[in-house]
Amino acid sequence: MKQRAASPLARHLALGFLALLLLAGLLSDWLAAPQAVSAAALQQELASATNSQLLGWWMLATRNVLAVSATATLFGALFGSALGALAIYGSGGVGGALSRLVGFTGAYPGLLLVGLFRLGDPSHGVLALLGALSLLRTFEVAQLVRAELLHALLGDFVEASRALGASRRWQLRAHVVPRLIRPLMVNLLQGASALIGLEAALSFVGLGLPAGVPSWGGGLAAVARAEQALPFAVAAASIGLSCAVLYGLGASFGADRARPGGSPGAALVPLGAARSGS
Amino acid sequence: MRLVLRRLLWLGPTLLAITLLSFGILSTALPSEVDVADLPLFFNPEPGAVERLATRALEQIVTSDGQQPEAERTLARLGGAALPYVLPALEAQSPEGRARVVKALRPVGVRMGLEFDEHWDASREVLAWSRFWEEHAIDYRPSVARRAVLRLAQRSTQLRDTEVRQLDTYALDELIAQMPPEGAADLERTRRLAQLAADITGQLQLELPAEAGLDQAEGVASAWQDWWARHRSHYKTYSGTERIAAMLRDTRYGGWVAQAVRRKLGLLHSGRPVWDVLCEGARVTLPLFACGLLGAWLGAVSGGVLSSVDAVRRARILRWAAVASTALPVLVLAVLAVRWLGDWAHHAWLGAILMLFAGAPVALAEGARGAEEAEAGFPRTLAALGVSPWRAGLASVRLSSARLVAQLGAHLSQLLTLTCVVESVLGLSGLGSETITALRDPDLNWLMAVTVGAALFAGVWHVFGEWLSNLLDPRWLGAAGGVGGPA
Repeated sequence: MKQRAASPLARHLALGFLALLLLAGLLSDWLAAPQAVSAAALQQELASATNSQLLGWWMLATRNVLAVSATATLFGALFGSALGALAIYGSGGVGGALSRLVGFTGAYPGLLLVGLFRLGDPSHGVLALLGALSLLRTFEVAQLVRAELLHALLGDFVEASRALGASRRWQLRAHVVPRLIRPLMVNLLQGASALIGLEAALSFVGLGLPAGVPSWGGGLAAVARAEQALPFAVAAASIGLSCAVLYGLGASFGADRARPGGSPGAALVPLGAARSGS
Repeated sequence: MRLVLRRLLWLGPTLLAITLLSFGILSTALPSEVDVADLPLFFNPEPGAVERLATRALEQIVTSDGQQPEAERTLARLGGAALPYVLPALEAQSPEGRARVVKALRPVGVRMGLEFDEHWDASREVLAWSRFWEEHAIDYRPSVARRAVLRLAQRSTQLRDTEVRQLDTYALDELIAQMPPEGAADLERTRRLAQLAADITGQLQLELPAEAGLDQAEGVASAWQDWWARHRSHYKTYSGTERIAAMLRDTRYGGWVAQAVRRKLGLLHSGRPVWDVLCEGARVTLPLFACGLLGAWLGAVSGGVLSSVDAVRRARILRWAAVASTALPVLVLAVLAVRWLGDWAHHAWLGAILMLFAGAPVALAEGARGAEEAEAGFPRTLAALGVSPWRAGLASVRLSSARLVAQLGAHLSQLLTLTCVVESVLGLSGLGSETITALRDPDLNWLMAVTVGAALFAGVWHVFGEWLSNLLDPRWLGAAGGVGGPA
């Protein structure tokens, strides 16, 4: 099949947007510091904020949302990869339990999970949000890693290299890990997109970041019924664009990915495995 | 089918484990009600504490030189149930100790209608208690208490009332057991027994007003049963199998289970049964959630059909459509709807449309992926066999559905959360709005109900998804087995 690479311009624009968000987050403390009001008051009074206050709020919210999403993604990637790699050693036991756990958490409302975590959270929401989002990501990444590893390890080329005397470590380095990196990257990008949407939804209903911590969802809730369109547009566009950019970037990497034969059976890899476009 | 049955059989133990875990977390995280704070969470190694409590209070009162207000209060609270352990032990105490004990027992005597004069000296009071016990020790047996309460329940006379009052807290078990009305004719009986129980325990708020109807009488009887479930352990002793059962029952978890069984999954802070609110909310939430699933299915099927017509071009279109749909999160759309439509936005149909849109990105993404794979797969085989593109598209509907069922498991969490958020934004009174409220102002009974409900749904969906996927495309189980799936 002739692969059509994603448009370089679109990818560069997406990477540029992400760089802008990162820059805004990094400079938020410095640029938002001159505001006369506190961060909590800034979000509460967002509807009547001046343009400079709106910019300050957006930078602080961007920093917080990126921090939560990136941390949950990172934890999910680390723990999920470790768990998924370990799970391939237990076909009936650990692997089966992992598969059921993923199936279960996949259908368990994230809202309830965050809410339950929140009840015992001494930080009034931050740790609960991070914990719940990380947990959701961990199981999904674990299932992906397990599926990809099994898929690669059972491949003919791995068998052939083994017959030629290749060590397991060499097989992992030459065959398995390169085949894992791209689907993992796709999954992490699209997962981060989902996390931003989920965080915004949770913050909107008051179950995400604490009320005094600026976030896009919290800001959207603060200006949901306000007359002014600009603060609403900023909050809504931040959520929508970030989700779309991360998702699109992941999709473009997925489209670039070289695929093996593509039998219908292989296409039906269950649960999180397929989400990445594996 | 064996796989499905095996999974279904595992649902019971899984749910039990989840209720235990959830209850443990919630009970630890939420502030306990005052009257259950001293009950153990899951296991009560010493159920039936009246003997232990009474003996300890007696020792504290006897051995101390000064006043022991806490021990005196305990003895007064335990009342008649403590007498079989306190009065026989009175003889063995020093005169000063006896004097202090009978002073502590004075409120009990007053409650029981015994004629004690406050000017009596202690020795006379001790003598009165000793005589009382000589005459009435034989009455402090479960069978006698049961007969006395039954007689009072059948018809009220001064003598029968006195009989039960003299048993005091010893009769509470039977009083509360006989309290629930079976019809309007039993209102008087419930009122009489509730009045007596309130006099004994001091729970005057649990009396039944004279003008109360049947519903109110049932509510009062249930409230007494709840009260007894929380305090039973203080007034009773157990032996044999009853003791073993009480080790599990006389706990906070046991109390929750008993209340859930008796009162439609328990009562909310508002006083409404959880089950009633669940049923009402489900009428809003389930259709919205079904619309989310429908949106995902329509997206997957249309993606599958389009991909079989022109895989490469359609794949790009679907991918761009998926990206565009993620750029318009359903949260933002819902808020926009509320801003633009105002009160018109508070309708379930708008929520249904939004949920249709919410489910689509998942399916579009899968459709795009399916389209990319289609060129080398099943549709290409059909094309090689001379099948027209649209017929090949129709044939792919089943495969797309199978794929979606397999994939949707990982996205249900998000879809359920979005359903709750859409309800909350649009102000629809479904399960999501109620859950968000219960999470902000924690309500143990509601949170337990939705936790168990969500776990049950997740478990059933997991089993159903595997079964349906295998039904739609038998290759799925084999493919899943190849990557460590259910096979």
